[in-house]
Amino acid sequence: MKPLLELRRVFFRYGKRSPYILSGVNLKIIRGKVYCIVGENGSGKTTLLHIMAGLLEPEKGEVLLDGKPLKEQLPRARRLIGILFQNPETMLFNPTVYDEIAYAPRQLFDEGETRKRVLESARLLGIEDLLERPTTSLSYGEKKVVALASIISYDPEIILLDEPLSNLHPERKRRVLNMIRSLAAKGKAVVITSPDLELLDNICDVTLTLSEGRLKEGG
Amino acid sequence: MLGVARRLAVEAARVIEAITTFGSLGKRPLPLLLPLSLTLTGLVSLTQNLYSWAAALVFSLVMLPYARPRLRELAYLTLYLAVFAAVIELPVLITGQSRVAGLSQLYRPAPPSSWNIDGFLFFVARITLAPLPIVTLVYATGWPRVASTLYRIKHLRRVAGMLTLSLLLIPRSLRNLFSIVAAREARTFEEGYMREWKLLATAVGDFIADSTGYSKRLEMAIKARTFTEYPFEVRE
Ligand SMILES: Nc1ncnc2c1ncn2[C@@H]1O[C@H](COP(=O)(O)OP(=O)(O)O)[C@@H](O)[C@H]1O
Ligand SMILES: [Mg+2]
Repeated sequence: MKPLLELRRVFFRYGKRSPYILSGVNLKIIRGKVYCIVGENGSGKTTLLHIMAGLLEPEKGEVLLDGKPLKEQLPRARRLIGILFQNPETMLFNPTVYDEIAYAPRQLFDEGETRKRVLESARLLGIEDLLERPTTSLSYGEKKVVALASIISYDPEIILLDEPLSNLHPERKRRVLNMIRSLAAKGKAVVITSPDLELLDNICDVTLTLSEGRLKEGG
Repeated sequence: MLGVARRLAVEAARVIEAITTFGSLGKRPLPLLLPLSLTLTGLVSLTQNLYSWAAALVFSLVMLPYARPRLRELAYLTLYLAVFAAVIELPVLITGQSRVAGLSQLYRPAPPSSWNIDGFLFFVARITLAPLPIVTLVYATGWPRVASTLYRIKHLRRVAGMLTLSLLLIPRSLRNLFSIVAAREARTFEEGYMREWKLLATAVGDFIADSTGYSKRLEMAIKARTFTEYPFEVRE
């Protein structure tokens, strides 16, 4: 099967004098699978996801979306990729929860369709009662789930989740895990990072370990 | 003192947050209303024509009902402007002569008398009224709609984008500065008059570091969910 997203010998560092965070990462992402990237704090998981989302550019190597360089397809290609940031606080930039979830669909659909999608995403994650709240007033767990809803509302094909399960209480965690399973079942490619494989509750189809700038198969 | 500063900061944050969402008038662009409100704002600040003043007032009053959910914030903003104008022009009221020469030339047509009440009121009214057409329009329609209108003009896009980000960053920063201060306050047992200002001064370093990191991440977050060249554009 042709990979949806592919990284070829990707090198990255923050600044010319800094050490390489990623040194020669290869990765193929195909539809319908859940990829788990495990690595210690500071191993570069967040950096890797930002490169996959086209938010950072590698110093060397290629990032291919559907076989073509990702950066040549931006910004339109972003509708195919959804990314949940590790800290949901920095992801929310709209005044109310409704607006936050509606931000992306509003660029693609009319107000009626946008509303339908916002309500559906909120229902799937159990946050219908938060819709009118200002995003600044939410708890950490609520922010995380709202941020997730703001991604699934535009139905991207590749979903990158940076430590989606950390610091969530069990009920929310269960909902997020169910969401990940149903996304994969619908043919989406899902990539999850975690500091610890055990947090991931056997959800992974492919487990990869990131250490010393390289990605290896296995947990 | 710090308590008052904190209250003002939170209120200022609310005044800005109130316009970061769409208003009740839909989300299509404003090809007529926006230029009209800008023209009225320009006329009031540059001319002394009473007709233009009246037109600006009428325009603002017509916009007012549409700004209803944000009326409280709009009132605060207007009050701030009036107080600000009054403070600047206080010397004119008392001495009859302006110490702010540039401003008085621009804003005060009457020659100074001993208690220049007319000149003072004229100045305050003008500073308060001039921005009102554009401000009421923004409160009625929401900043995203004004921004999406500005995006249509190529040369204004970057400005509109920067304003959009400021509107997000300023309220968050105001709230955040005082949450950093509060966190330090909880760990300080020193007493006395200078304590609060010392706290504020030492929090500034943390605040700058935090703000830089935050704005980088925020920029990425906006990019990640923006499929057009500029954020806050809407579908035709
Ligand atoms: N914006 C940045 N500028 C400089 N260094 C950074 C930046 N972001 C992360 N780093 C550094 O890069 C390394 C990898 O960070 P990160 O990708 O966040 O790892 P992880 O998500 O696995 O914890 C860390 O050493 C971190 O300090
Ligand atoms: Mg991380």
